[in-house]
Amino acid sequence: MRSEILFEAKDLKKYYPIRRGVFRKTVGYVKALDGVDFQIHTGETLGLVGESGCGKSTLGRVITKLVGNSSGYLSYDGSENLLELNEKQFRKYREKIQIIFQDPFSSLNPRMSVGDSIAEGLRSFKRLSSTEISAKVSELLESVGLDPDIGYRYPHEFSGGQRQRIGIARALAIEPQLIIADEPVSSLDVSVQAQIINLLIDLRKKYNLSYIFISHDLRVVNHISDRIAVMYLGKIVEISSSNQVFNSPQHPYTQSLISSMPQMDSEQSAHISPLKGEVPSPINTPQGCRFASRCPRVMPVCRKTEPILEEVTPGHSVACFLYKNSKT
Amino acid sequence: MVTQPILKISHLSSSFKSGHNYIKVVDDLSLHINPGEVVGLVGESGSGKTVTALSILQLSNCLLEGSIELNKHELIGMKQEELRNIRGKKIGIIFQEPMSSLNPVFTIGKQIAEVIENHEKISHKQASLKAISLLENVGISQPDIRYHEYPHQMSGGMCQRVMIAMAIACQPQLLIADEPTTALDVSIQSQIITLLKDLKKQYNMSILLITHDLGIVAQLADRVAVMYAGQIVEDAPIKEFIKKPEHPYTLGLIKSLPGKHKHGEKLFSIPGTVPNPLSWPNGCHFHPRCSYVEDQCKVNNPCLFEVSPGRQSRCFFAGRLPDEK
Repeated sequence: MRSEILFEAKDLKKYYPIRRGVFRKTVGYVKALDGVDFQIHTGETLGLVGESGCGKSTLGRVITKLVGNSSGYLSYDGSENLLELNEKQFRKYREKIQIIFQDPFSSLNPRMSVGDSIAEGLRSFKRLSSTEISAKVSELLESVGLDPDIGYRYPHEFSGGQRQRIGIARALAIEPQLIIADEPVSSLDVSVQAQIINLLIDLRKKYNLSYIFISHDLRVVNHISDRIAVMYLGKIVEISSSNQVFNSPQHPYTQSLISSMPQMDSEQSAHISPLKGEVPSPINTPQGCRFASRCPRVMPVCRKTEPILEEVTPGHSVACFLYKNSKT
Repeated sequence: MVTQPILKISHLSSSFKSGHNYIKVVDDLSLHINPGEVVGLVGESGSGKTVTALSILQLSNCLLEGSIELNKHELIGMKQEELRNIRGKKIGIIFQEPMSSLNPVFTIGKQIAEVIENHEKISHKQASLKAISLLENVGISQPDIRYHEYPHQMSGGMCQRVMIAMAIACQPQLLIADEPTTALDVSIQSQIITLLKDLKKQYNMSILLITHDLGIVAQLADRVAVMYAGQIVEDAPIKEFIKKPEHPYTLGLIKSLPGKHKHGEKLFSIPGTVPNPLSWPNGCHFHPRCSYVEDQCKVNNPCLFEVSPGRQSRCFFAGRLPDEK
């Protein structure tokens, strides 16, 4: 099953300048994204995992152009480079790409009724009469598993899980094709998480959506994604089908991430020593491989040159010298 | 020989005053911790885990009923001066957010030394030497330099290590760890779990581990107590608990974990949401979400009773629940 490429990113970069002094002189950059490439096919879910500060949320925001001044190449369905478009030209792609935010408590406007929040996108993108809009809002609320008549109520009247459903309804309102879900379940209770994941799986089938599913919870990502990209300090270090990444991880970072996941029903993780040290600051990224300072299998070459993401087996790319050597 | 529990909580209720009413947040909670035992207290947000921890040390101004015994000494109704001798010395506590629970205007070394100076007759110099060795013990490199640093100079994982050093400074018999890894990344989380495991062996402490993550409990705890809406619904040794939960809520929690499902399949989910303490349902607190509910559950709240030796459940159907795995 090889469908067409819906979305493509090449060499995506986002540097945040650090300014100091009276004249706000730029003294350095936080390299939140430093050359990210990936593709998403129609109907596919790409999982994005990594620890905090690795750039996963920045990636979601760069794609939706919620943060500007990024460089690289983004294309939607074979279009020209989205990053070079101005806001007016980009508008027609806004309908296609929507985002679900992490924290359902702060991402809804407390002074707007839920119905208005959901209708906001409809009003600005679709030409609909007010009766059509309210019909559509009820329909959306119903499709995310809420009572269709609650449109007049306000966000504070809802629980976290219900608010996240509202956030999802909002993203769905203008019928996008690609939804970026930025940690959609991490602030929810365990018993409610499963409900939201099920909802996302149902909606994907119903509307043939593609997702970029950002999360730090490997188990959840593995469950919902077709492919998984593992990020470390602004770069993708491994990308492959979720089965491959989860069951035969190649990059030492992915391996240790998976082994440090708390296991429910075995002591299998007990013998693997946890990863030492912490993620280095993205301000002065070390020369060579970014992971070299924590890597259990570091080699001299890792500290000098940076490995590039290369295919090890078909469909499985890893950025690590361990596999380069074995091939040549 | 029956071992004497270090901490024995019987029929504890904690209520907060709201206007003219009291709102019960913890309801009829009984729990004991044996020497050297790690007990996991699991529950979703709002189930009363943290209030239980704060009630043990009486750090929140809620109305307490019932009894909390530490080595057979009743803590409820104890004078403040006596309580201060227990806090930090007999019972250490680690809070959830390491970054915000350290004082930003003192160096971390000073904060650790303060605990030691308060509880032990020891000179200032000796206390700081002890603080440095504690820092080393919790895995902080260059402890003599780090001693003079402030919390903002450290990462979340390091701050949590400092919190742990502070909590174990006087070698308490009981360590309460309230969501010790929730704010941390996965790789740091497993470092902290390993550290807690090592320290438990080294100091022979009992640990009350409060978390919402069953995976962490499975790695660290000997016994698990599950809370739902202010009550303990199940109390069991960890291995038996994972094999066969004896309460519909815990059964649902374990079934809803993604690992148990085929890829992309729909997850099992418990319908509804956790009730608010203002409106706990009559009868069993879980009955509106329960799939085994019967008429008696809507009227009577079952009490925690022994299903088999060492296992307790608060469900009329405990022991008779279908084995769904």
